[in-house]
Amino acid sequence: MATERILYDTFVALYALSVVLFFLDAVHPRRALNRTALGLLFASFVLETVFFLDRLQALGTVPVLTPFDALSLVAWLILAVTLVLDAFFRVDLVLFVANLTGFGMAAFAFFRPMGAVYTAPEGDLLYLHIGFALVSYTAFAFAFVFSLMYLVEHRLLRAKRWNRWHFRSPPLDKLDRLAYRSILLGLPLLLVAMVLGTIWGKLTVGRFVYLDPKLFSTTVLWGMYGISLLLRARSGWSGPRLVGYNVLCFTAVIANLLVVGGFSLFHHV
Amino acid sequence: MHIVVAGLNHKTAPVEVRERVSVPEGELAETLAAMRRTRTVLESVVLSTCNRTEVYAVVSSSRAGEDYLRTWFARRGGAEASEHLYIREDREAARHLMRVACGLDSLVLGETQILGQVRDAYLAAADAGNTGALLNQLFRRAIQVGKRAQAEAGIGQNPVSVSYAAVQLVRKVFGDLAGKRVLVVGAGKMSRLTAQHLFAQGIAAMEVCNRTLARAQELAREFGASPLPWEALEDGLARADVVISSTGAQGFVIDTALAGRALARRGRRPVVMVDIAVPRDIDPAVGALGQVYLYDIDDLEGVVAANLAERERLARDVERMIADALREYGRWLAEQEVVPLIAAVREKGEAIQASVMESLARKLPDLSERERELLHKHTMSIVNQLLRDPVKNMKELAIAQGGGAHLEVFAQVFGISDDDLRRHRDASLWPEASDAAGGGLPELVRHWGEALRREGRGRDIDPPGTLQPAFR
Repeated sequence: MATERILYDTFVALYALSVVLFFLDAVHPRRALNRTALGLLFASFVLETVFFLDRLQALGTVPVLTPFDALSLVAWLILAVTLVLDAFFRVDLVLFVANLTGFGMAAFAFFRPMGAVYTAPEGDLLYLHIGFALVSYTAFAFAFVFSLMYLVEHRLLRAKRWNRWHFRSPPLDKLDRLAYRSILLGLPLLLVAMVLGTIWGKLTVGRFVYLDPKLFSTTVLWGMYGISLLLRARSGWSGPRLVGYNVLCFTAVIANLLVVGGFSLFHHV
Repeated sequence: MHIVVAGLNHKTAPVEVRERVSVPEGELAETLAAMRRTRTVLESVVLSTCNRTEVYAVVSSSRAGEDYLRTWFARRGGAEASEHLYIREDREAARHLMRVACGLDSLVLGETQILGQVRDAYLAAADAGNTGALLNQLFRRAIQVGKRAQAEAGIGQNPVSVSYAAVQLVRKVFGDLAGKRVLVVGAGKMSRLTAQHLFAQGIAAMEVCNRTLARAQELAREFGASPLPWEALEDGLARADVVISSTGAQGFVIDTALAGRALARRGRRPVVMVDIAVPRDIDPAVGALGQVYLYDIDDLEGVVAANLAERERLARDVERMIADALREYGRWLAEQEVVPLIAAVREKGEAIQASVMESLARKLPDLSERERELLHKHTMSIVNQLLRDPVKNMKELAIAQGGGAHLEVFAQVFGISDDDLRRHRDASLWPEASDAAGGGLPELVRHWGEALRREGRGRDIDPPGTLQPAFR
């Protein structure tokens, strides 16, 4: 446990330092800062991977059953995706904004208990349910990142401010498309997670659990993202209004992840 | 031996001097041939563009090389040319070439055309047989770092002309312009120029709307676009993703009412409107309408200024790339075993000449200063001429297969001891070269620290005064 804590604390410290350096680089670009931040980000990724492997060995099972593990895993997924993306394309600002979001999750996990708090029996379906849910949350996190970047760049273009964010930001159309695709990926994954969770509930409790607040809020969340796609496809909604709505949807994800879980019979994530 | 560059450019010489010294393409072969024939110059490349004429040369003696190049420029451009001439040696010459190849020495910072011109100049010299191992390596590395400056630092990517700035803004909204429709309002010069740039980006369709239909038809024909009668302006606005307006009208051509009606027909798709006209064609209030990105000429000039500032910032990154490339070139030079041997042979030759001069001074005490200077010059000339071919052959054989064995023979023939060679090997060609020979983590940490320090110092990366001649 002590080793795990040291590993995680070091990971959070390096992650924080990396994000701070990325921020400095965004404000006042310097190649050395950018490279150092990237190096630290990679070191954080390695540390978190080691942490997960260590935890896997200690628990003897996939570490996804506690709020701490779930949030850490989302942060790890964000780290992994951005590092792979940056290796192939220079995603620059996306790397910073996505990892700012990832760091927020890791930092929040930092204050959550590490011990298992699930009261329900474990099983393969439960792991799949949580796994799908976390990956969908990661996809929504990316949709949020692209939407936020869109709103900032849109503001700059309207305000005619030609600063460094403007130079480094991808075009609005690309950000809009990336946000759309992230939602397109997250939506079916969340649906699968919900279906698996319902089946798991039936097998475990012996009945379908309809009245759990988490199930209700997740369905609402799914509907919100569904509406985003519908608005885009049917009524031609696009641009700042739609991406603003996507940002709102992600606040609902955070609320669902952090607040609603506390009232759930089974979910504490 | 030294690497020397002599030249004049837009910063140092007015156009009337530059045009006199420039080497037209038709004269280049003869110029290179003349340089091949001279004893002073061992390798040479002539770079002549509208903004600069420079000769890069490997010379046996720094002073003789400088004299030769000064004379060469004076012959072409008259005495006035010498006044505007700059001469750089060894590391500074190599650094200058790399800065030129990266566009850092250009009229428009970071322009890309010069890289092609440097490559062409090098290839012409190489084909003519004017280059050898030293300039081949130097120019290849300079071209390489020039490519990196464009590809990695992207110094030439931010446009510095108003018409390109308009395209940059359009791309910031739409990214890829394939499939986008453009409406050009007015058929003026600026409209044509911007339309030209947009057309090169692969737009789907273009319409030209002008009060005089015939002029619209004329411009439309030029780009394969469709002419639009003035009365159909609203229809064109409703269809267009990009509007470029540059009419000579005194009032607003596109007001909020017209724009509002057109936008209502196109749904919520964004539209970029670029108003290049003075007085303006588009009512600024149109910019407040949803999904409209409206820019006027001042905005475009603001973009150009910001782009120039960004290029200056990127230039600092490029300077660091150049410093790395110079370090690598210095390391390569140090690796050439022939260098210390040549240095030792030259030193021996100079020592003999100095000894002869001393002996003459003793035996002929009545010699005037001028006579002594004349004797010094001629005896030095004997040494240079005597060593010219052996040195050239040493260089060629050193890079050939089994060069090491040849070098041993040369050392024996000239009576160069191992101690002499060691001494010259230790006297690094460029101090940085030996510094960078290490590796591992300490080296990495040192480089990292240096990089941060360099950034703190801004552009002053390689303070002058730390240079040493490439060859003694």
